[in-house]
Amino acid sequence: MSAARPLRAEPEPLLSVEDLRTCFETDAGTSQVLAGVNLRLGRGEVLGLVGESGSGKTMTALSILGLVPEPGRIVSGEVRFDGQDLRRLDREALRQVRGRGIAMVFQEPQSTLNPVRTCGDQIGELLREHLRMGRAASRAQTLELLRSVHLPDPERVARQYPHELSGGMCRRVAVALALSCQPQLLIADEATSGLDRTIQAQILALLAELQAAHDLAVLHITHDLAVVAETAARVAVMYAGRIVETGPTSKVFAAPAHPYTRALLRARPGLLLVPRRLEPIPGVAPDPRNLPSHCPFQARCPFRVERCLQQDPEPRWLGPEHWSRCFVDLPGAVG
Amino acid sequence: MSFRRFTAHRAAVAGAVVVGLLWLLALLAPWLAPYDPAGFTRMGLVPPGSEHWLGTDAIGRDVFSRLLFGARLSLGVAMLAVLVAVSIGTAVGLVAGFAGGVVDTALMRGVDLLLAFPRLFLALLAIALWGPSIWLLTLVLGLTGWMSTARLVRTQVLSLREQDFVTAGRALGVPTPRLLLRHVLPHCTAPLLVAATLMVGNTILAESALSFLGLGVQVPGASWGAMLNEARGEWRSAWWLATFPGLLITLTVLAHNLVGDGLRDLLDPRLPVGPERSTSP
Repeated sequence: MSAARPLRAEPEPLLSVEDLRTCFETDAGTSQVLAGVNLRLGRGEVLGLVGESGSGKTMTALSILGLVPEPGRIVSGEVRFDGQDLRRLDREALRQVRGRGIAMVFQEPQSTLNPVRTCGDQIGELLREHLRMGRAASRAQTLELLRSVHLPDPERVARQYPHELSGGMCRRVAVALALSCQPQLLIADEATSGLDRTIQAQILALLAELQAAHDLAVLHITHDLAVVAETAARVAVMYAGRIVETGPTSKVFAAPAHPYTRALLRARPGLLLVPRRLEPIPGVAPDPRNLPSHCPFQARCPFRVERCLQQDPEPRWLGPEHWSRCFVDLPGAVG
Repeated sequence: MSFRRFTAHRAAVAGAVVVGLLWLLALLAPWLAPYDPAGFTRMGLVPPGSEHWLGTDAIGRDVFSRLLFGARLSLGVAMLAVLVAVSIGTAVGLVAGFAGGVVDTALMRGVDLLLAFPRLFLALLAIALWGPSIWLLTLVLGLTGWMSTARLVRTQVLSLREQDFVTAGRALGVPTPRLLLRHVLPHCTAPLLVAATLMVGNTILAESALSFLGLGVQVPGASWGAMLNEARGEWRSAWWLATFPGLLITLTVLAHNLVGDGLRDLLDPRLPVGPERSTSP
């Protein structure tokens, strides 16, 4: 995009996504689920990707990995990872990146583990396939991995089938599976949703621990702002298939520059001691089959000005790492 | 508990017992048969009695002994043919279902094309070209029987490939052949088992038909169909010659179908258990 680059940008981030567009061609028309996504993620950095359901968070992850399901396809844009252009890699090279370079933990670990194979078998398979380990070495390493995610009795878990484990244990196995080949980037898609708060906190702590231990870059996809606040140094807010605001978590949360971010923050419960009315965001997200040429949020936006109906806002820099796709200077936002 | 589901299906249990018994008889034929199945014992056409339990045929061979050895041929040929059919069908179904698109269309239209030919016609053609033999018979039955398996596996794979664990496997860089064989295929084993069991019954029937037409097992071999063929001339004067092989074919096919049906109930917990469900083959 034409926006000026931040002055202190790294020369080459681990992952950079430029203007990524993904479409689904259906009989009912073309759905533009990603309408130009821009993301940068440095080595060892944690980025939270938030947005409501259907905003394209998971599709961003799948597009990065080149796993957009039929009938979708990536229309344009660039995905660079560790110096490689992932969209230009051949099948085999891309397979090497998946699992070894970028690994993903999916929304439902219980269904992402193969129900007819033991947990140990599934981890061992990756070790043998990617790292060319022998049987004995992969077995030992499997137990080591299961231990590293703090599963009690790793020998037993290795022999168990996914349905024999609890939801929290399944997530731990899924994390162990994703980290088995020491990837540089972990994409965690709703890694903690559907768990009760205690287990959720444990999983977040585990991810933080492993992130620090392996200097892992993490793309943390969630709809839960509290999770982002806890885990990510930077946050990107997604709406209607694009990033509308990104910046350091503390800044974005304290002074959101995009009306959507602001609305999101107001639509969640406050801290324990300060009960307040939740403010739902009025209206619905635009139909991805028919994205407007102007700002996609304008119909729901309380700060709308005339320009919003005519032009699509480009990213506007508000700080060295903070930009927002909005024409308006929100009251309270730091310029 | 799943075993109890199966035993609740009485017809299936009966079928399983019969199938087990038949296989046992076939395996133990050399020790159980009172006479040499190809040996001429005495004058021909002795009715069933204490010396020859099921009588003898026109040239004095003991029908009971021939039936026992016939079981080896009929069951063996059927089993091998089903193995061939299931292997080919599974491979085609896996590839078609997983690849999708042009590959899928091409393979499935090929299957439609093959299904358009009557199975016996293809078998007759092959036998007319290369002459009858047990191995050719087995091969032909296998090569003409895989299409239904291909369709079955393809349908399974079509739904399986949308499952999260398949996407997850790809996201973690599991190579496609491995994904197919180690992640997808194991989920097809239950329907495959059912299909294969039902197919054994059908294949025995097809083998009997071909042998009856004189195109399958050749003398002095004695498959049940071949015995029926030999009995053609005598069936008015010697009822036992056609009756016992015929009964055995019916019983075997029925038993396999009952077991297949029982397995289907067992492996598909959504269906109700037991006699309230029809068990027609």
